Amino acid sequence: MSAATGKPTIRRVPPAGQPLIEARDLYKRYRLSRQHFFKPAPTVLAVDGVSFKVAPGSTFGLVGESGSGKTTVAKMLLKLEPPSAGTLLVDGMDIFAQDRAAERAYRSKVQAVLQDPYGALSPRLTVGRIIAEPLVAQGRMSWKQGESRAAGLMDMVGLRSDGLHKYPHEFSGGQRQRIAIARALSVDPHIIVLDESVSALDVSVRAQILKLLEEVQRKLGVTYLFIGHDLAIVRYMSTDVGVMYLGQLVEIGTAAQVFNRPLHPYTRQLVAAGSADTPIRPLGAGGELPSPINPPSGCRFHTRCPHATALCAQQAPALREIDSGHQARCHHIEQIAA
Amino acid sequence: MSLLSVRALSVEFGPRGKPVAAVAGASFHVERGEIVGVVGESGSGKSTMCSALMRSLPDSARVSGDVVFDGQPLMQLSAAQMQAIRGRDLAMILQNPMTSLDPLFTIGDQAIEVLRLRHPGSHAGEKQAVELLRKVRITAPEMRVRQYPHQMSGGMKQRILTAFATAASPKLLIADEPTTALDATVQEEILSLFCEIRDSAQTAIIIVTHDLGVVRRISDRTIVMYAGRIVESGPTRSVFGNPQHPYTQGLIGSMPRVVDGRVELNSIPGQVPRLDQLGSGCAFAERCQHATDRCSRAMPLQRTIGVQHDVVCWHGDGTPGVWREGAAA
Amino acid sequence: MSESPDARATGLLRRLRAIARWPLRLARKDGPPALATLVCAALFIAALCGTAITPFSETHIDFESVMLPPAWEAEGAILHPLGTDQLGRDVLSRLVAGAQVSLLVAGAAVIFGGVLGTFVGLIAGYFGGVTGALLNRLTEAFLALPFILMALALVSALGPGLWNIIIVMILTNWARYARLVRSEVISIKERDFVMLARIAGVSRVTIALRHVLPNAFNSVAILAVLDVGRAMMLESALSFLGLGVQPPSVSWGVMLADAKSFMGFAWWLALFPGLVIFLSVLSFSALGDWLQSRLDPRSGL
Repeated sequence: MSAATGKPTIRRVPPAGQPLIEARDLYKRYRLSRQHFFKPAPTVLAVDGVSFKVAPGSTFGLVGESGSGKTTVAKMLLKLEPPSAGTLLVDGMDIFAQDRAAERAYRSKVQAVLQDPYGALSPRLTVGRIIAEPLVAQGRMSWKQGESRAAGLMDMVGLRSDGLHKYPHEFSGGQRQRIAIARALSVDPHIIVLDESVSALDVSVRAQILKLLEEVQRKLGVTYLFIGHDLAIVRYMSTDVGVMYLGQLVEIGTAAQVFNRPLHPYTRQLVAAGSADTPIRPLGAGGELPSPINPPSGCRFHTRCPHATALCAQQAPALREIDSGHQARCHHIEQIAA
Repeated sequence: MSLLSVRALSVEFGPRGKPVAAVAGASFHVERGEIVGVVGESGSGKSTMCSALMRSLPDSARVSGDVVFDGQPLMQLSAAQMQAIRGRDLAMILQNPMTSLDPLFTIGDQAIEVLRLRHPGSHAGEKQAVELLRKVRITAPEMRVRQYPHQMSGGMKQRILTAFATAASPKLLIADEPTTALDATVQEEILSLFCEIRDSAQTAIIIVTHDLGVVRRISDRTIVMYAGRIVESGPTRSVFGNPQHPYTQGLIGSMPRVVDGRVELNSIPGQVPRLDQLGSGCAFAERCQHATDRCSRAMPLQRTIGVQHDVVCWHGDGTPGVWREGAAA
Repeated sequence: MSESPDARATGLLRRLRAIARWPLRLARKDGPPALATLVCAALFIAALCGTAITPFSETHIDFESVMLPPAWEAEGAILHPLGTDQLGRDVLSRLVAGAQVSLLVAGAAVIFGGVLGTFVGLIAGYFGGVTGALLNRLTEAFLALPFILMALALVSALGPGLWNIIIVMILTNWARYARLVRSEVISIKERDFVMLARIAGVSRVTIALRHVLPNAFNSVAILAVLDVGRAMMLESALSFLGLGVQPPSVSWGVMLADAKSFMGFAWWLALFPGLVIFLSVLSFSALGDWLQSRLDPRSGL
């Protein structure tokens, strides 16, 4: 069913088995400003060889801490940044090899809901205009038509449509996020990128918004890229999960696989930190998160890994499949699991 | 005798005719060496309450109630007496580590300033600053003291701020959202640090947060606040194991949890009411599925339903309740 | 589905009501400073009506009433409340006529300079690149030029006179707006709602005009109000130096220049123009301050 028209959507479903989103070996390198006159500018490899597939109608969760590269992946999917290398396919088509028309059409396929509900809505536009803007920008209808669609969308996200003429500052954080969701839904997208979309909200509001997102997915069949740092939430929302550390995917699999049986030491640390039953251990030599500009040699995680060996510092492990579809990047998975 | 004893603490703002109570009638106590978690969402009044304890609220705030800290009546102390206590016996870490350090001075300079204030006449210098950083397990402290705040990560800054706050081994440390802006693994380190402070110096800690997971793991006792009032308080195990107030139950249910291999999540319908629109009854009534007429009319009385486990609700009677997604109010 | 006439009427009514609420907002406790508003209002009325509301025109010469002191002095006359000058011209009427000139010049300088500067700043800040860098250099160059020298050079090229003065003021003023808008735009550009507008497919130009510019408006408005006072003072300075309006047109600066020779004994000839300049600049500054405290981040409107 379409959010915009209320009529059943004839969604062009890719042939059975073909993923809606496919990332192949994505790399993204940023050049920073020159620190020294004589030395070349330092670069950061924000995304280092990331590959994943997302089935239509499912949710792919991307977990990681700051500097992991997950937001950069989102930006690439949103075509805000091109990859330095690798391909990103949506519906089987390379989105960075599009002509102008296809690029404009892409904007109606992928939308986003971001973290900060207070920065996401233009302060000087009415809510009705904010929600209708994507429709008007893509030339699908006039402002008047767009605003009447906006009324229906506000209902769908649980807001009263008499708020159409109000301004964002008259709404609370949770309500603003609902407005952001309504705006994202206005063009009937196939994919919505949710980048920490509930992290800035109160706990009880968070639960409401998650339920709303679930309902939207159920009714409209939207595919989500769900980025977060709170494992419990990512686990709740996701079908499949990828765990990122310093630009690399260190573990990937279904949500059940990754959270019930975490293989990579980093994932295990994250799962333990998120669990209410883990006792607080005395201050260890945890160490700081390494800088992405100068990542550790070999396995990026070895400086913080309790199981690290000499091999880990010398040789970078590759992503290996351990179980059907469950992969992890570590030399010693079998020993750790035992 | 409790280290901190608070009775009927209220903080009001706005015109006297129509006051808005950011905190209303809060009563609780903190013992030496105890970690108390104060949980609440936006508008619950938890941060205002802490600022009231530190007496750092603006002049427009009207504070009433009885607060006894280490035998002294906190609200009646003069500004000079308060200044002597603040930072020494009573310390606070503010919410955002990113902005709590002065960007213009090195860590070392700021550490020395803190040390000299805490131990007047001690002529603290760089050596002591390095020791202070070492106490909170900052690696390479000799290098760090020469660096500026912007060169530190959030976790490091939080540890430095904690070091500053505990430099004089305070009797009570109030930490306002200490883990909110930090990554999960860094949160672990901060929590470990708090435990160590408690163990080594018998410092009592009040942790104010909206993160129930943190409270559950580290605090001995838990206080739940809603719309300016304490609705439930008690030993953490009791509050989480047998939550009596529907809001507490809803809050716990709002965290995704694994049940039979599936992840479940419940939500509380409605929103937190605006503090200037509260009625005479229970503030949670409009969102509560157990609410009756009496709930909206009259403010419930506090009831003790377990060992030190108190709840402010007409219906809480100790029997285990289960929060289910009911019909929205 | 088009809007019903009822819906359109309601929308119009709502908009009218919103506009009508403005004077009420001004009268509230946290409204603008009373004295400053009064002075500015008086100024506007004077500028609008000019000498129509004064008993004399500013050029009316009366050798019978030369050098009369203000009415409350011994030799003063009620007819000339603020006295007369060496040609018998009424000081009050000349002040009112001068207000017209001052406000016109200052207003034009601020509005046209502001609009020009805002757009340069918007382009430089939002689109960046080589164009942006060039525009930025241009802005900085204009900012570096000393005002008086520029005015002198331009006047000697264009000649004195009302419109040339306005051109001079615009040219020396636009760069301040450009600089302010550019820095505001650079920070607004990074905010989430701009990124989301790109994701929605809005064109860059539309984003600049619909999302970025209105949010920089607050700062521009504050600068503009403060600027009016500054512009009035600059115009007075130019006229005082003889570079501004020429007789028979009168401005406060011209009155001050004329009064220079008589300051020893005809103090009223210098005091009143000076006082009026002082009050006007002060009032606009006060309004600017008030505007700043009202507009800055709180309401977001």
